Amino acid sequence: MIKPRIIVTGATGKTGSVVVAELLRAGYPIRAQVHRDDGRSARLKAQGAEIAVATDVERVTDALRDVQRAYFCPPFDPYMIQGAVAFAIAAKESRLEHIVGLTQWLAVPHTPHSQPAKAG
Amino acid sequence: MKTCALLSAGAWPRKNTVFLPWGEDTTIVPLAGAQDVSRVAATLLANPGAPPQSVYALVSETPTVREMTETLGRAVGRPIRYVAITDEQWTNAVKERINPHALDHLTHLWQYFRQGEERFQATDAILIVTGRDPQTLEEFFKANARAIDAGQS
Repeated sequence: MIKPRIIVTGATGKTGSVVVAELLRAGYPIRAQVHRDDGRSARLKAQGAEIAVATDVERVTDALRDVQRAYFCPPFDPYMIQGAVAFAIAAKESRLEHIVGLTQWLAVPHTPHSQPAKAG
Repeated sequence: MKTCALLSAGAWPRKNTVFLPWGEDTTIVPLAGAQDVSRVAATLLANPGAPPQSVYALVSETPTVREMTETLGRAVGRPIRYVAITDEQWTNAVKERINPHALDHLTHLWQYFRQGEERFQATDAILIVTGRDPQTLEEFFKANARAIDAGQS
């Protein structure tokens, strides 16, 4: 059975790099999304990950092509919201079946951000 | 543990003392290790069906600042002192290494912790999802003791 391709954003980061390693070890084809080609991305490639350099909307869309699942860990930078929007648009176009997102601080279940909107 | 990593990244202007804007040493800091968070993410990506929750609160420990400092002291083998500083002092100390947006986020996070309005509680989400106990703060400090020592001036 062919395992789904998984894209890992922030793949050179503290969590992303471990997610890549864990999933490669489990036999999943991994596309590692990075901001630039450098020594860190080269190490991911050497581990077996496919590298996708993606910094703008078009490249993010390309990066998510033929991907079924995603780890989304946005960087804390001035373009965080724009990056999240670009990812959401690309994810919808690619019809991702499953996304695991990492957020900090506001993701606890009882915060208003995590509650479903009330009807009426 | 991103929060704890800061202990070795700019919080050590003088030996054996941690300078951070965390207020009183009774302030509670909710923690989860980066390795554990990553394993949760990898497990959920590999097995999207179970357990079927949409949000997982990943908090492995909720130590006070005093407990964190004592734990660090045990890990490096000598007493460590905590000195509370202002947000501005901390910002000035680390602004060369942390981008302004992340700095702003962390400053708000420290304020949130200091206010202490949230009753943080450890969760068993890491164990439930990964089947493994999360890394403890003491294990983290011991594993990084050399790097923490290297961060001292």
